[in-house]
Amino acid sequence: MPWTQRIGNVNKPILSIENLHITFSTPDGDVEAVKGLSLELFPGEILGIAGESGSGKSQTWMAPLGLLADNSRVSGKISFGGRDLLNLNVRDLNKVRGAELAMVFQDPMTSLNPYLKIGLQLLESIQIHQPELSKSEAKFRCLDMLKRVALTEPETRFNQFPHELSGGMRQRVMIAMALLNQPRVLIADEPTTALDVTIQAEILDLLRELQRDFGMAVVFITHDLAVIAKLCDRVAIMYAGEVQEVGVTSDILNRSKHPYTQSLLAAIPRIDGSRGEAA
Amino acid sequence: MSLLEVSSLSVNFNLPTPLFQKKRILHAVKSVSFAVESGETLAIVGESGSGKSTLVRAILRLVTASEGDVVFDGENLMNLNQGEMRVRRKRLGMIFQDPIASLSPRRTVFQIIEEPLLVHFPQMTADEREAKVGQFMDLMRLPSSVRNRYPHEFSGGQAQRIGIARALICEPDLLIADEPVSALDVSIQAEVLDLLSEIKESQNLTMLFISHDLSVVYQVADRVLVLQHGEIKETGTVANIFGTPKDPYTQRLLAAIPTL
Amino acid sequence: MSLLRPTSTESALNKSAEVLQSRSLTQMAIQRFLRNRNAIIALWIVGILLTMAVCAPFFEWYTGYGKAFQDRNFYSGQPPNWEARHYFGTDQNGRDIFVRTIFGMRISLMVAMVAAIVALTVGILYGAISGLAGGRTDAIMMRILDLLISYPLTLIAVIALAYFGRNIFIVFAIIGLVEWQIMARVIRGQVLSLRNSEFVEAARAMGVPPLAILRRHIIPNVLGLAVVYMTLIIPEVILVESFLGYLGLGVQEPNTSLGVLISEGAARIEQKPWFTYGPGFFLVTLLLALNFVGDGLRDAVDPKDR
Repeated sequence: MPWTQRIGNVNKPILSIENLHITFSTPDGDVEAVKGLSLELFPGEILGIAGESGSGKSQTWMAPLGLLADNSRVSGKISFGGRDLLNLNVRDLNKVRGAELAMVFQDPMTSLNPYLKIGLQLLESIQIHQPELSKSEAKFRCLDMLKRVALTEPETRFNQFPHELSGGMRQRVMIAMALLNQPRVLIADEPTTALDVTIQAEILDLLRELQRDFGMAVVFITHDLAVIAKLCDRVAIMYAGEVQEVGVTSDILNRSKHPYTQSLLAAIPRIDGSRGEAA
Repeated sequence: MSLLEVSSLSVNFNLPTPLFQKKRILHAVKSVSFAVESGETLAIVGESGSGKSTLVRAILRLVTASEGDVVFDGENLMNLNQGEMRVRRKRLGMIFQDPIASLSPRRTVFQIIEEPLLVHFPQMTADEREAKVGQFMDLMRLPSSVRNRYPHEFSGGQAQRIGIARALICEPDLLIADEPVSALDVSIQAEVLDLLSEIKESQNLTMLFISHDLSVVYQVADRVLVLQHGEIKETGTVANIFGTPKDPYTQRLLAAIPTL
Repeated sequence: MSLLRPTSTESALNKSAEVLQSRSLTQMAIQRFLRNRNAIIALWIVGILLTMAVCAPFFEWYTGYGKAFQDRNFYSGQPPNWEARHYFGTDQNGRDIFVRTIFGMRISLMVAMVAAIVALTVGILYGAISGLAGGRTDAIMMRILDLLISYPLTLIAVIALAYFGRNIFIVFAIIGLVEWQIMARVIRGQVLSLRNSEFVEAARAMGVPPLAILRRHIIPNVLGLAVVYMTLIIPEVILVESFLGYLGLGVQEPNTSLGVLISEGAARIEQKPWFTYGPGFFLVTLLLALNFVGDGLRDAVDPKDR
């Protein structure tokens, strides 16, 4: 199916968050991490979420997957495919997450089970959501996906353990695993922060390419505006649990009047001959 | 004369192997030579596994070098015994990557910053130490109200300023900074980098700055040394390395930096 | 501690300094412990039992029956009788079981504490030295420990008791010397990870001498864990002592311990079940309460493990 068809109506949001509040109760009192956030994700776009640590950018996107810590309270509405994800029970949510809604995390080592071979973990995630597939068909799809994420020697990797791969390769495996069930939305939470720059550049290119091929919407969470500039169509700037500004990437990065965005931009060290200007 | 001269320094690690098996050796640093001139900032750039952290730890003798000399202010550190080396550490300050993990968790800010004075200036009275710690807390813009707080109560940027105060309190000649801003948010990164360069000017410090982030290096360094797999690929001034990189690896590194 | 991490800038720093009172890790651990209701209740129970054990002579006076005294008016082996103040009944020699239980608990607790202190001191020293020395020394010390651990406790106890005679101090020493091995392992593991931690490396880079590193940076960070394991060792020692008592290797008459009382009662549990009820109740309560306190402390010291 060509990706233009898969995407569907580009003007209707595929996932929309309305008035989301996330509060954590701690022994020292309640802490409101996300304060009435509303945001829309459109089909086929890459939406960048920028913010510093503690801005609530990760918490916001853990909420639709039901991955928030036990001491949290959530209110608001997250509509996705005609359902409110915040009201689903665990069984229905399990049908959505990992299938239609997939996530890639910052640290690929801790999100893979160290005692299981890569191949088994891939097979597991495909068989949960597509039990009708035969074993050989499932394996074929896993290997095919490993090729798609440009992992060298997929057959060998299939039978290796996570610790035998480098950080960049593990992140490719994680992306492959997230894409196995052809999700409509991929949430990537700082997927390149733990990687070296050269590897980061490769992964970003890969994500862009896969997004086009699969026609999915991608939410890319990062603290690095330069990465957003390279990858994202639109960007939302978050600070203290609220969206400060949202818009087309080039507008925000070049013409933003918002003081927080400007201070973020000013803090980025630049290599353009105007040394010390940023300081 | 150079303040620090490193010549053909190598570090090998024995990899853990089961009993009765042939030893495997990891060559983390392979015969590296360079010099740091008084007053300059030399940046060592490399990706993870390039041996940059091991290199500076070998210079400070925190890991054992298998070969080579480290001449600091005319004296070969490799020939000193542990006790003599400890005395020299007064002149060598170090800042670490993880600002909170590098502060002792059960000691107060004051105790942490004071500790080097206790070691190197045992004749100082409590009042003198008090004054000196206060002076350096001011320098790092740490309010005196935080002196009795504990490391876990600070954010990364604040904790790193405590770490810098501790590294500077004995007024060292050489400051070694191992990825001092990698764990921090960009805006806080800028804050800490500004503070570092300010202090470098006012205290006339020589700095060895380790980083994987070329854009940060561009901001602070005078000269750059590119390290890959434990070997020096290229050295040069910032203008040279960023303007006309010669080594293909340097070129690849530069091309990979995402820019606005 | 997200509350305490405001976004950079000095003003935020100042504000947080005013609003929130500073707390050390130890203070935070104590607060966490105090919030744990089960542990607090358990702590009260332990406190009450401890007070009873300390005040054992008071019960001798109150009931009028000594631990070795035989009640001639009330024949031996009688069930509990509230009016005669034989709350748990009498044993086959006509001695009051309640008073004997309190004295037994006193001995059990004494054994436990002495053994725990022996375990703590030897364990910390051995573990810290092994962990700090590292390399070959560490490997050899740990293999010695393996050897000792693979030796069954009962065998050592039987041999030692046969050799030295049945002496309560021997029992103390043996149990303590066995229990220290676990402590040593735990401490060594902690010291090993502390030794490689960044703040210890920072101290080395500053030129802090090894002994000062041990005193200022390592010991304070192991003490919490050591205390936790001590509270978990105490119930174990009580159990081991009871087991030895059951085998007939425990303390000697006229002294008694919970284990000895239970083993005596167990022989006649079908005819005279109350022989075991009292001591059994005290033993179970004590062990449960101690375990709850230990668990509470462990959670408080290391909340990540929950």
